This record gives sequence, structure tokens and C-alpha cells, in this order.
Amino acid sequence: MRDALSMLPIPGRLLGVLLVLLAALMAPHALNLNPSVLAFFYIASAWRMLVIWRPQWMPGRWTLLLLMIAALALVVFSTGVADGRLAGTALLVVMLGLKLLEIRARRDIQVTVFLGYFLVMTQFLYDQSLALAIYLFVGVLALTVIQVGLNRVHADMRVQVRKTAGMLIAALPMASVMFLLFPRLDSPLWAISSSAAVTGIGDEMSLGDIGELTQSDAVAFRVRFFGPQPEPTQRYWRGPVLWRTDGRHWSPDIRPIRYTQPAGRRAAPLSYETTLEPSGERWLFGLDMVVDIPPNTRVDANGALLAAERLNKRFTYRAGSDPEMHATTLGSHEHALALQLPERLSPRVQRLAAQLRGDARAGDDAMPIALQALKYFRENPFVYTLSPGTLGSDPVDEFLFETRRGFCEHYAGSFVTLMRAAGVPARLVLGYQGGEYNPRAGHWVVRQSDAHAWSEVWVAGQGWTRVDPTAAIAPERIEHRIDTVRSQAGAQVVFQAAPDGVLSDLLRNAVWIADAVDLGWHRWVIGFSAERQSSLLQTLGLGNLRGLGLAIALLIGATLAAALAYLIARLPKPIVNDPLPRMWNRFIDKLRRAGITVHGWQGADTVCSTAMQRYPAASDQLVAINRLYVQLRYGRRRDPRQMQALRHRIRVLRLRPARQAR
Amino acid sequence: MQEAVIDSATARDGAVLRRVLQDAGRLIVGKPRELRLALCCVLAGGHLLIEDVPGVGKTTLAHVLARLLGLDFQRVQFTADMLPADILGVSIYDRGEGRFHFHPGPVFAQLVLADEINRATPKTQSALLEAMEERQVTADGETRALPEPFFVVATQNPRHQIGTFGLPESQLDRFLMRISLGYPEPEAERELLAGADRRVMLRDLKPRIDGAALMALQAQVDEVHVADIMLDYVQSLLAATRNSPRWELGLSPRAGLALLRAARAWALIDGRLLVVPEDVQAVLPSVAGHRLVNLDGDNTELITDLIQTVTVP
Repeated sequence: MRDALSMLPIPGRLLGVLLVLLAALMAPHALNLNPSVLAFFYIASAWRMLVIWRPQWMPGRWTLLLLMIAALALVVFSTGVADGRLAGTALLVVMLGLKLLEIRARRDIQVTVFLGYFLVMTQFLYDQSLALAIYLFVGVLALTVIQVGLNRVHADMRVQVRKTAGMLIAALPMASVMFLLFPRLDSPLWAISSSAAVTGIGDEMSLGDIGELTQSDAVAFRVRFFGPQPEPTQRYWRGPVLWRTDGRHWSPDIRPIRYTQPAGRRAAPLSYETTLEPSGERWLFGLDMVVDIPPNTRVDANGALLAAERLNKRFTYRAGSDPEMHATTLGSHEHALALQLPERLSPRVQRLAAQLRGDARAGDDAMPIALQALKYFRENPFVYTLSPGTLGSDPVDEFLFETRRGFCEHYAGSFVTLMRAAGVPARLVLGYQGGEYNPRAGHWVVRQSDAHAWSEVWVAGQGWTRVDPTAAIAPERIEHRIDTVRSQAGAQVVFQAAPDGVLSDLLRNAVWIADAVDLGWHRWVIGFSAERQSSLLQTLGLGNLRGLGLAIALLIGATLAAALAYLIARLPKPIVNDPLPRMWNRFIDKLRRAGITVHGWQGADTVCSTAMQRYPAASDQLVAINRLYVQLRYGRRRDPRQMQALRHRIRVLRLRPARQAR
Repeated sequence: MQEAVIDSATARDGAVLRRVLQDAGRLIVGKPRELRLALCCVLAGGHLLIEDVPGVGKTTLAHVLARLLGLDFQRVQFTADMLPADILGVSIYDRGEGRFHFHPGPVFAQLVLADEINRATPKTQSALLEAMEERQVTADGETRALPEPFFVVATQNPRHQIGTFGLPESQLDRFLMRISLGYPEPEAERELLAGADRRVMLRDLKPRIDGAALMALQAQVDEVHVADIMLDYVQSLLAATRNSPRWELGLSPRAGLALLRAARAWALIDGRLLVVPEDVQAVLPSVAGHRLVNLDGDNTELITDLIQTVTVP
């Protein structure tokens, strides 16, 4: 008797557990929602908790109405309605709090549990990390245990947990099929708001910015190589190219981005798969230079890889690179740009450039001049530091002759300026350099602290050639990563060398494992995009199903499966359509409306004698109903006349409270 | 409209049985449920184990039943030095006739009260239990049937008393039911203390039926109908005991049979020829209590909880 259960009194302990569980499931929203919305929920929750022991404190209908108006106002004023995601979540949260305050029957607990599942889903609108997923999965398990406990197949907790686990395992195949086949949207349902975008490499650079970017340990992207791994000197991850400068700021070519004709997929010495963290930009980073261009991406005239749109979620692509390749195009426009100098170039810089050119004694040959410049950096007291201090109105001059403290941007910017002053076409490249190999996951982790700037000079007959002036002054920068923990502001930069102890070794291993797990989660679960889905469908031979068609096919399949399950569930019943239980249920309903509690385990005798105690006036009718029912239900034969009699007696039964009893 | 669902013969049986209970209730005050269980046990043709501290009326209960049901009565006080022959009987050589004569032991009675059965050694206990099961005694190669009806009421002190041999679970299974009387309620005790001497009252008690009538009633128990859905219900209960972590082992199929028989007898006392869930629920604690080994706590309470987890058909 399913109805019987839903009307049972509320088990206080179960409700207490549910309240605690919901509070725990709510907790991660502290990062997302307005504190007042959460406070509303927690106060409502605590209130309901008190009501378990003090039932008289249960709010009445009017109090609830007032509270509801207050809650709506709270949502509107604290969160607003502009961000649908936030407003929707906040509304769910306050309504859940209100629902807690009107839990009067088991049925209400049931509804609350379902709202709990919704709450779990809203968490994923803000964060899809593995840690949160595990946390919420445990929550879902606990919610389901409560659900099972509510229907009390068994009073024992361990049995309930086992039963729940069994149910969830049984649901796994269906969930997997839905995960694989459910139509996916190409963009996230709730686009990540701009505030969530991570700092990364933009397409501008200005000298004198303190190396804030360099200090961040956030992951920029991860790369898995198929086949050979790149040499340390080959690990330059190419990003945007900057051409124009005013002495302080560097910016790209003002002309719209031009794309080279994709050369198609070519065999490349190094092939790899990159998973890029959301950056809010379009730049993709490929190993210098990309020759095997991933689908849905483009390469601009500077050899930088671009996605079709801004990256608001993780993006995975496969590419191939040839480190020996050089860009060999130099149009007249680029040639002019590559020699563009700031309007005011200090005489000291011009003199130095001329001197370098003279020392090289190589005419227009670029490479010797570049080597002279690098020699100048090496032989003068230049220092690699992350906090060089700000520079004045002519940063290049100041850096080259006075402060001589700086990091990659300073060196690359000054170097390109010097080259151009010496008549050598040069340009500035932004990107990442280096990375850390994670042996647990077999991939490279490139962090924001690996952001780098280097330069390229045009060498006649060879094309654009990379020259990294930072390598000249701080070769360790290229070989090792910067130790962000130990590189204090103002001090010399500390580079990470070989492992220096068991503890740091363990720590590094732990970091590697966590990194591997996180990437796997994003690659295989979060990153299961529409594209991957369609390739899976292709392999399954369902490639021609798309969008609506797929949805309809799924719907039909699910309906058929559900219908089959329903039919099977109904099979073992000996009498499919027995009017007797229906009659009896009608009788039980009548008793319930008269305020009599009926449990599923109580037989007709017990039920009727309970009713007789409450309504002595109806004793005769109740006795007769009981006798008829017992005879029909448990007797040898069924007399149709008795069926009619029972039906009639149940219909005419009137339960009126005995007046004298009051 | 035909509503006479209970045929008159059965109603008469029920009325007789309830009169027995009424009479018994005059001597054993305030224990109607225990009395009814004891009578139910007799009707179902099973044996009864009463586990209780001394002095709460175990012996009186057996006496009263014997009187009211018109059965001849034997009482055996079990002791540690008792031998099987002390119960079953011995063959003694008769010189005059020149052959062995069997002198039947106390077990040859219709109602045997085995007092403090756990004081005897396991060997002696098992002699009685075998006789209970087989309803016959084999001595000196000759098998002798026990009288009919045959009903054993064994009493047992709670196991933790010193110098006792608790019956093992497999032996406990020979008893259809185990009940305990417990101390009477204050009002009942008052009535007991203020009332007449029980021995006098016992002597004045008139039998309501006799052995033959009892056997007829026992035969009638078999006629009580158990619907298929009731069998489902009994099976669900058995399965629930087996699935529950509270007991080491669930109820056996034999226990299931015992449960059904007891439920039938219970229904007959109500004058019904069909078993309803309440019958099963009423006898379950007494039928299952001594067959379920639980790790801690009171079985009766656990079984009551168990009943509340199984939906009636």
C-alpha cells in the first residue's frame, strides 16, 4: 500500500539527517550565491530542526506566505534577475528553505529529497571539478538512502545503504547511455561569466609591467606528446606575435587577422594533444611551429594558432609541430612593420645599435648582429629578476643603460628595438616556454608562470629565426622552471633544480597525480563535447542522427525500455486486476480522512478494531466490513454477493465522532 | 444479503475454547494472552516451553490446562542426577511370571509437566525430547506408543542460573512455542493474594472437554484455511528474518510450518476457519522467539519490529 506509507507520521531522526545533509549540499554555494540567500536557507533549516523537538513552533500558513514574499524580495534585491543562472539558483535555494518549513507528512520529505537532487544539479552550473563531483555524488547517495529509508523496506541502516548502492549501480548503464548519447550543446548551457576568465596571455605587452603573470602557478594548458618528447630548447609554445611599438607598449598588426591557407594535415616530427584551460581569448598555443593544424582552428599569418571563438571552457586539440621549420614569408607590409621604431628613440640606443652593427662587420646579415646584441647582454651586468621596478618614459633606454634589471619582456622588447634600430627586421612573440613533465600522467603541465616573451629576427635565406635574449642572460630560465615560492619580490630569481629531498619529492608526486586525475576527468567527462559525441556516433554507425532526431530516438528508446520494465514488474502478480484491494483502499482512505492512522503492516482486524475504538457508534458496520473482507480475502471461495455487500457497506460507511466523547 | 461467513460448528468450537480460557483466567489472573498461547499450542499439537523465574505460576498453568481439558497429568521434577529411565520407565523381572515387566515412566501421561528441564543432563533431556518428537518410547527393543493426546509442558529457568544445562537450539526446535509468564500486574497480583488458595480452586475446577474432544479439535485445526496470499505473507516474514542482520540465522522451513499450524489454531480459538494476518502476527513472537538466535536485545521486541516492516496482503 504505497499510499499508506506516504501518510505515515514523519520520522524525526530521518528528517534531522535530511536537514543536515541538505545543509552540507548547500555549502559549496557559499562561493556562488549572495550570503543573505544562503543565510535565509540556513535559518529556515535550523528552524525546522527545532520544530522536530518543539512541534508547536511550526510556522502557520500566513507566516509561510509572509516568508515567501520576503524570500522573493530577498532574491530580487540581493541577486537581481539579470543573471538567470544566479537568480534561478537563489530562487531554488530560498524555496527549498520554505519547503523545509512546511514539511508535515512523509510526502513532503519526498518532495524535499527531490529538490535536494535539483540542488545538486545547480552546483554543477558553477563548478565542474572532480572534487565537487565526488562530494556531490556522496550527497546523492545519501539522499537516495533517505529516500529508501522513507519507504522503509528495511529499518536497518546498513541494509538501506546496500540497497541504495545496488539501485545506483543498476542505474549506471542507463546513465552511461544517456551520458554518451544525450544531445549536447556546443557551447555551455550557462556561458561562464566574464569574471571567471583566467588571466593569461593577451595580445598586448607593455614594458614596465611587474611580472605578476609570471608568479601565478595556475595551469595554462597540458600537453601529451605522442611519440618523441621535445628537447628543452624546443619547448617554445607560440602565441600571438607583436609588431608595433611606441617604446613602451607592444601591439599586434592593426590589420585584421589574416589566415594562411591551411596546409592540411602534414606528418610532423612532434605530434601532441593539448588541453587548454579557459582563457577568454582565442589564442591556442602550439609548439613552434605548427604544421599539422587541428580541425576547427586556424593559423594566422604569424604562425599563431587561433580557435574559432573565445575559449570559455576547456578546449582540447591535436596538433603537430616541426621545430626546425621557419616562417619564410615577408611581405612589404610586414617588412616595414618589422623595422618600425618608436617615434622618439634615444641617441644612446641608436649609438648602441650602430655599434653592434659595426662590431658584427657583416653588413645586412642578421645573425651576427643578433649575436653581438646577445653578447652585450651577457657582458654587461644585466640581472634576471621578476620585480625590476617600474620604468620611466623611455623604458628601453632606461633598461639598457641604467637599471639593467628585468625579465623576459624587458629583454625581448629591448632586443627587438635594438635589432630594428640596427636595421634587422625583428618581431616579438608571446607564448609559454618550458613546462613540467608529469610522469604519472605522461603529459606536460604548462603554467601561467611559464609565460614568456621572445623575439624573432628575419634571416635572409632562412626566414624568421627565434632569438631568446633571456636565454643569454639567464639560461636556467630555459632549462628549469622558476620556483615561484622561493622567488621573493626584489630578489634574484630562484630556479627549480633537481629534487632536493624526500619530502619535496613526495609533494611533487602528489601534485602530479592530482594533475593527472584532474586532466582525465576533464578529458573524458567534462570535455565530452558534441564533437566527440558525433565521432562516437559515427563509429557506432549512428552518424546520421543529429539533434532533434537523436532526441526523438532516445525518447522512443527510453519509453520502450520503461514500458518493458513496467510490464515485467507487473508480471508476477497473480491477479492483475483485483477489485478487492481497491475496495479496501477506498475503505482505508475513508478511515484516514476520519483521522485514523493505518500502517501497511496492519491487518484488517487490527485496522477495524482501531477504528471501533475511535468511532464506537460505527462498530457494527466496521465489524461487518471486517468479516466480509476477511472472508473474501483470506477465505476459500469468493462469493460475488459478498463482494457486492462489502462494496455497499464501504460506500455507506459514515464515521462521525462520538459527541459525548468530546 | 448473505453475511454468515462463519459456520456454526466452528463457532461452537471457538466458544468452547474461549470458555476454557475464561475458567483458566480465574486461576491465572491477568495473563489472558499467555493462556491463549498455551491453549493454542495444545490445539496445534505442539509442545510448550515456559521460561521463567520460579513462582510465577508455571506449574499452576500446566495443572489448570490438564484439568480443564480433562487430561491425565504427570509431573516430573528434573534433577541433575536423573537418568533417562526415570522418565521413560524400566523393565523389571517378575519372578512369579518368569519374564520382564515394563513399568511405564511418568512420560506415559497425556499432559506431562517437565519441571526445570534444564537441570537435567543433556542425555536425560534428549530422552524426553525424543519421546516428544516420536510420540513413542522404545525400551528393551520394544516400542510403546505414548497416550493420545500427548502434550508436554516443560519449564526452564533462565539460562544464567547456576547448575543448568541450557537446551541447545536444535532441541529448542522441538517445542512449538516458548512463552514466559512474568510477574503479574499489580491489580492481578492483588487479586491473587486476596483470592482463595489455588490448590483448592484447582481441585474444584471442572473439565470443559476431554481428551477425545481435544483430539477432535486438533483435527479441526487442520481444516482452517490458509489462503495463497497468506502463504506469501508467511514467506515474506521468513525471508525478512533471514535477511535481517539482527539474527545469525533466519527461520527454517520447519519453523514456517510451525508458524502456520500455530496460526491456524489461533484462528480456531476465534471460531474462524480461515487464517488472517493477525493470527500469524499473534503467534509469531512465541513461535519464532526461541528459534532465532540474536546477538543482543530482546527477541520479542525485535520480532514485533520485524512484523512492522512486512506489509500484509
